[in-house]
Amino acid sequence: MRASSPTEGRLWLGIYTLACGGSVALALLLALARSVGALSWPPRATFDGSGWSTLFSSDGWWLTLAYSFALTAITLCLALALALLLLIALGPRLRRGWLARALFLPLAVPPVVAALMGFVLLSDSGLLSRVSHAIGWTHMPAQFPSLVFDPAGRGIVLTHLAMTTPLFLLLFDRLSDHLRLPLLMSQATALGATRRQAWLRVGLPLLLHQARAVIGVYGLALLGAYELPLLLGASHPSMLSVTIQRAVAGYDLAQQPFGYAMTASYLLLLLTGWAWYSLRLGRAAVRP
Amino acid sequence: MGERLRAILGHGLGLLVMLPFAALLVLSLARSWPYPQLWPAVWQFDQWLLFGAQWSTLAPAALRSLSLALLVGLLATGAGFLTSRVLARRSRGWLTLALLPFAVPPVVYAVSLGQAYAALGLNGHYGGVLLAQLPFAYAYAVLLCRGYWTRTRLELGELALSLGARPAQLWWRVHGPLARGLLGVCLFQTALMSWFDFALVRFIGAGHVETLSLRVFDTLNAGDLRQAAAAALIMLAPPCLALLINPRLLWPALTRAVAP
Repeated sequence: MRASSPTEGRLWLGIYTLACGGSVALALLLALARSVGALSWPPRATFDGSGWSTLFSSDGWWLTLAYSFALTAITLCLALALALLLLIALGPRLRRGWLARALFLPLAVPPVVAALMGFVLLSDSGLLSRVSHAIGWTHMPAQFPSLVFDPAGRGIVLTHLAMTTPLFLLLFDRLSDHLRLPLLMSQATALGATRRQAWLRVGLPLLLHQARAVIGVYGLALLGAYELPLLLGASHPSMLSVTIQRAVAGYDLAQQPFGYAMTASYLLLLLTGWAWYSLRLGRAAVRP
Repeated sequence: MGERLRAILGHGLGLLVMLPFAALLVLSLARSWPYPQLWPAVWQFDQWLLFGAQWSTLAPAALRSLSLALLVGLLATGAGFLTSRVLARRSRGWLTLALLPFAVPPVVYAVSLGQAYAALGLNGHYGGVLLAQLPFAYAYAVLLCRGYWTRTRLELGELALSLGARPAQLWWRVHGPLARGLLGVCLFQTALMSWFDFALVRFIGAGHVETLSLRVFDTLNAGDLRQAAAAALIMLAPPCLALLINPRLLWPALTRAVAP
């Protein structure tokens, strides 16, 4: 006798497949249909390829994609570098005292609240601008570098950085403990490596390899981020969630097919990446 | 690096992390805070007055968020735990299906499925938002609970059954108690996913389901930073409380299960 009957097992597998795969597949189908003018109101009798032709002829979507990928890559690289530097500098102190708990605080912040915090700190008349006024660096709000609504996305990057760096720092600290990194490093130095070589050749590759799944998940989250780019970003260029939302749910109905074409193409991109990852994972599982 | 310098750096980092929280707290208590001043000129507690005008709309939003989070958490954790047991006997390939909802940004999901929700009459309803948040939380719960089902635990279940336990007893007497810690973390984190959510509430809820996150957004958009700060602090309270009780509750435990 088993805990779950075969029918029950099949039932849960069905629910699981529908909830995870089915909903995404339905999203893709609906976006594809809407991108060619089907299912729209008022109904259109003919096939409408304007969305896809705009997608491929104009540079709007490609600019958005490039902008989103660039901001994500910059944020990730800076966060990883900062976390590694802090790990090297602070070492065992990360686990002692109130700092050990304080580093968890950014995990408690919802993205909407992070946007509010970013606004309060980074805007022209925000707290940092006031501090720079108090020190005497600037004399009025306009002199403070505009980090919010900045086309270069500095406000978005800074706020995302503040949210992710502590997490990576905690993760690296856990990993270095788990991998017995201090022991490995001292072994490396005993074998004649300098401290720098030990970090570059032993510490860094091990940490990054172990953390790659987390880095990937956070990269995807940053790529699809919505609240922060919406509240702190410039109107142009914008990150992909904001661009898609503006085209689909904006006032200009003529933009809708283009918006759905963007949605469908991004979903296709994600599905391709996911299929590639699944296949690789499957092959890794088969290997002895 | 000297121990003293290291201590200064550590405290400095801690203070830096806490700075935005302090700024929100001060802002929520401020009445006027003109530009060059580092400190509010006039204070007021209006944003926090229990029966003030703002509270009458803030409290229902908080209750709605809370009930939504609890429902999503309970449903996702329960279903996720049962599903993960079925998946434990199947190939690991099935697990990659649970990664899909993580890759899709909620906005993209909501924008594409908005049509389907509207057709079902769920647009702008509490139930619609619940249904939209569930796949994300459920996928997370499946990945998290999958770690519980080691070979020993599966065999323990078989043993209990062969000793005469009924299936219900198996869940209540064996797996329930053994997985208690994990289920607690899972419940909290899936509830937090719903508590943090903004995109799904905004698009599937269509402005009719006012939760705290929507409230923060609306007040910030309307330019009232003080009210936004008050609502934001209510949003921050449960996760910060959890942090005081046990930081593990906030740790993204999912990550180990994803690694190939």
